[in-house]
Amino acid sequence: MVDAMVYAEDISWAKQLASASKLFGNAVLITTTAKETKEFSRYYKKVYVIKVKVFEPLSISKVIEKVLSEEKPNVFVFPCTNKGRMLSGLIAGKLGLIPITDVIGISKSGKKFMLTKLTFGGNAKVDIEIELPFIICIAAGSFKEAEAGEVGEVKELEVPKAELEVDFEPRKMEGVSPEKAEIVVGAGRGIKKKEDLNLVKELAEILGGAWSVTRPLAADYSWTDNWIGISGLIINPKVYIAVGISGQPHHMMGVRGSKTIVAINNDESAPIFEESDYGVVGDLYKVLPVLIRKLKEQRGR
Amino acid sequence: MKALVAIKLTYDVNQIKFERDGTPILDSCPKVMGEADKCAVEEAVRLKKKAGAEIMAVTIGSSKEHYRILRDAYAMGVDKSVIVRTENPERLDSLTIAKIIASLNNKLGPFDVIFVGSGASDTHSSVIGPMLASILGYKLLANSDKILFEDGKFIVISTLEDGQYKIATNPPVIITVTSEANEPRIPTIKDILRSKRKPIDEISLENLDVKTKELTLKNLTRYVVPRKRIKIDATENVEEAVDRLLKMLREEGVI
Amino acid sequence: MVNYEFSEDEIRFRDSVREFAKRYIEPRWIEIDNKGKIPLDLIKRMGDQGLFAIPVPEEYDGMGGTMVMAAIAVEEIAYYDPSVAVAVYALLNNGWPLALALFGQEDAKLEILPKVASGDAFFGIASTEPQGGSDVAGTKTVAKKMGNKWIVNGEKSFISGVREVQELPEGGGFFLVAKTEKAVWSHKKITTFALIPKWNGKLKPGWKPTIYDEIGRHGISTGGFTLENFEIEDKYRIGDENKGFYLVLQGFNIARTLVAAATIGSARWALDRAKEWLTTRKLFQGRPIASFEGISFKFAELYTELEAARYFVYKAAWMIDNTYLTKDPKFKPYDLNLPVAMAKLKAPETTTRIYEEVLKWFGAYAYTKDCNLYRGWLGTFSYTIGAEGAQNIMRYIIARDVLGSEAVRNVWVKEEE
Repeated sequence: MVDAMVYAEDISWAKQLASASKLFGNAVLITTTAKETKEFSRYYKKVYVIKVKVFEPLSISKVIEKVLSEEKPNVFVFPCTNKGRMLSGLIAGKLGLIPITDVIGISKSGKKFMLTKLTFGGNAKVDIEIELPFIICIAAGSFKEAEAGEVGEVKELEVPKAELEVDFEPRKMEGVSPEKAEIVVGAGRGIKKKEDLNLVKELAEILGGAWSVTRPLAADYSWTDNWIGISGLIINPKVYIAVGISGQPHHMMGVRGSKTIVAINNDESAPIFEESDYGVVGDLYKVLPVLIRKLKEQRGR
Repeated sequence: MKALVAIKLTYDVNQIKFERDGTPILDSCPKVMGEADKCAVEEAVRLKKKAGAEIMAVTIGSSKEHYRILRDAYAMGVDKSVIVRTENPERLDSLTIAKIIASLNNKLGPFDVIFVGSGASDTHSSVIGPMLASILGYKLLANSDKILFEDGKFIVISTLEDGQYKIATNPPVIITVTSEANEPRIPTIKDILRSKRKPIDEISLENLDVKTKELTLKNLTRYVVPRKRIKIDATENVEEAVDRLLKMLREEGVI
Repeated sequence: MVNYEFSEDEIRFRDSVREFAKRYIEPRWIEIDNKGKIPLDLIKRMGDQGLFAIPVPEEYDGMGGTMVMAAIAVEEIAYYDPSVAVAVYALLNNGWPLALALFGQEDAKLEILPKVASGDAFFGIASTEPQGGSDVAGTKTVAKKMGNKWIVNGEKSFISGVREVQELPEGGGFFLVAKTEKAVWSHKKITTFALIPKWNGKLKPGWKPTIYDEIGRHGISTGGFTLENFEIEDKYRIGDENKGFYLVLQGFNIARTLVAAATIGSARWALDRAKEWLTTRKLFQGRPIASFEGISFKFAELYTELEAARYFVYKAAWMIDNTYLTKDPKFKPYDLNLPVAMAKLKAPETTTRIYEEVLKWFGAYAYTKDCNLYRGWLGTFSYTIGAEGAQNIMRYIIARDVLGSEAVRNVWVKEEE
């Protein structure tokens, strides 16, 4: 028997959710990623690895249910990613529980718990008083990554036959992935032409970071096939530099977990300035080249 | 083929205003059918041609605007519509909503496919689709950016964080539709005028035998991540502005 | 007491036009103004969306809607294309097709209107001539009847759509004002026609167009044409012989209402931009410029004027609906002269005043093309200058209707019989 069960697929999430689960007690992790299991096991007393060839949610959730019935946790913790929400919904539906998503804070309130969650596009928060058992999805960057501890047990599980026919094509990554990078540069509609993305890429490169775009540049213009936003990549780097981005809720929900946000935009009234630490009001086509040059000079020294 | 599309009347998140103490001003906030829901209706209506499907739209609520979005669904081309009447639909939790839609499957279906938006425009928890799949024992095709129907199978393309998934399965199935899936048709004036005369069936929530849980929600307030909000003017002297920025970032140890 | 709110259908329609304009017009309006052309694919899309021939009855493939809805559509389109080129294209293809539907002959209506509704053909107005626009009775273009057709000779100037008629797949034409027999100065010798220089993709002989180079509203063409023995079959005659003067004036009432709607849509855009600017631009130690009462008071005045202009527009549109498009008319056509003149007097002049002030608030930036405000200013200014009816003619109509034509009339030339 265990207090909490956590689902995560990458190490940063695994660490954040380990922190989040501390309030509940002992936690085990279930994952489909076979790569970093040794790393994962330093944060959980037990790590279940489901040996999947490809992510097929229905068969994976069946395996999770089986482990749930054995471990009998009071709380199930998921990350607020597309896959996390999907699995939390599948499990909640099976168990007859209400999944609470976008949780940014947890505290104990007598025998119950007080969960603080985001709503209204991330512009508002609300408190929910709830009794065990429950299912929650944690918002990115809400909990500090846990410190590593003793190495826990690793158990591999076979996955049953897939219930859906799934073909998967991994994203062709140019350079560092935005979810893993410490510095991310985002490009928005202030960038007028696809070729101008080179400025953004150059800045990312000099800083040793990753780059991506907001949804319109991917979905409407098809300049890339992925983007940062609530329906795309959720990131929480040390620094996020938003170039020519106005700051719509859809996008901001994907970057709120960033430690420091820098914005470059020539519209003084853009909402992003309310949500950034450093806001540069100016023409990105003038600011970026100067910024790149000065960073190069600094690196040259 | 019978299809159901469930739509939600949501606050227009881009227009929410707050009082000085952080309380959201909800009464005057415009309410709309969300982006993903519009795409879900569009996909459902496209299925009429692809598979000769009959489309029913449903929403939960009882206000004028709830009736209006069902009429908008008619204007987009659905064949039938039903409203599950209840006074305060915002208070219903996601599990209850999924159970309500599931009970309609028994009462008015069974449906071969149920479309929902992949995330509501205001709350965006994205859990209704998966919960429905579990409750009904239906297959799940989530976060669909593109939906095809070939040889009796549904095939969707879904772009997630790690790459692109192509998923196929036979009905019955729950399909959640993203707001990137299509450009929802804009009803013409004729569509709008015709939709006025279409009937909207009413079912009261009490008649559905769904137990509602009460989640206690408190302290709904504005949330702004505390940020420094330091502004640097780069409209005149760009060199100086960038120097200032770099200095501050270095001092903070950020770069 | 009149209901001051839009009905639910009118709101839903307005929202559908907004969605359309945000998606298909807003991203392209600057390019349209720069290139001086509305792309044909956009015109076709507008046709498919049902934005033309809105008040035309369904039996002619019109939308079977109302003038209020047409005004809503034009106002919303103008908000997303403040240069008003697209809005003017829309208003002409709503207003003049309605006039054709009301006064034309059945065969011509069944032939022309469906193609206008679908966006394949253009239908505007050809009244103005080089020697004068306001003096309709002084028209010099002559149509001579020869058996079952009319031979037309003359020249028209400052006509919108001269290029579009040539470029659209089907073609199209204009509500033509001509003198019957010879060019005498008279209200009683005017016959109106559907002049269709291009149809079925083919240009008819005798129509010689030229295009002007204007200072604004570039997306829609303005030009002139000469008619040299141009043949018009009698079935295209609009209304009875020699009764055309009163028909074209009714057409002007319809079109001017929509012109007023276009200007206020553009003005609303300017005020929304001003609102953002005045509240976020900070000077003198962090003061938003709106905190200077010289500016906020002026904003208040202009906002009030714009609302007043809007009431004129929708009242006129509502009255037109209750004159022509109802089984139970509340008004006669001449009841429309006063409210329409007031709307067409107020709306463009208010819009021009708004743009002037907003440009001043933006300061030097407004003087750059990048700011884009100038496009709305120059585009709408064409209606203050007097397109679709000189402002002083509007003043004359109001004075005459209120003070009485006896006291106000100033006829210099004796009318020839």
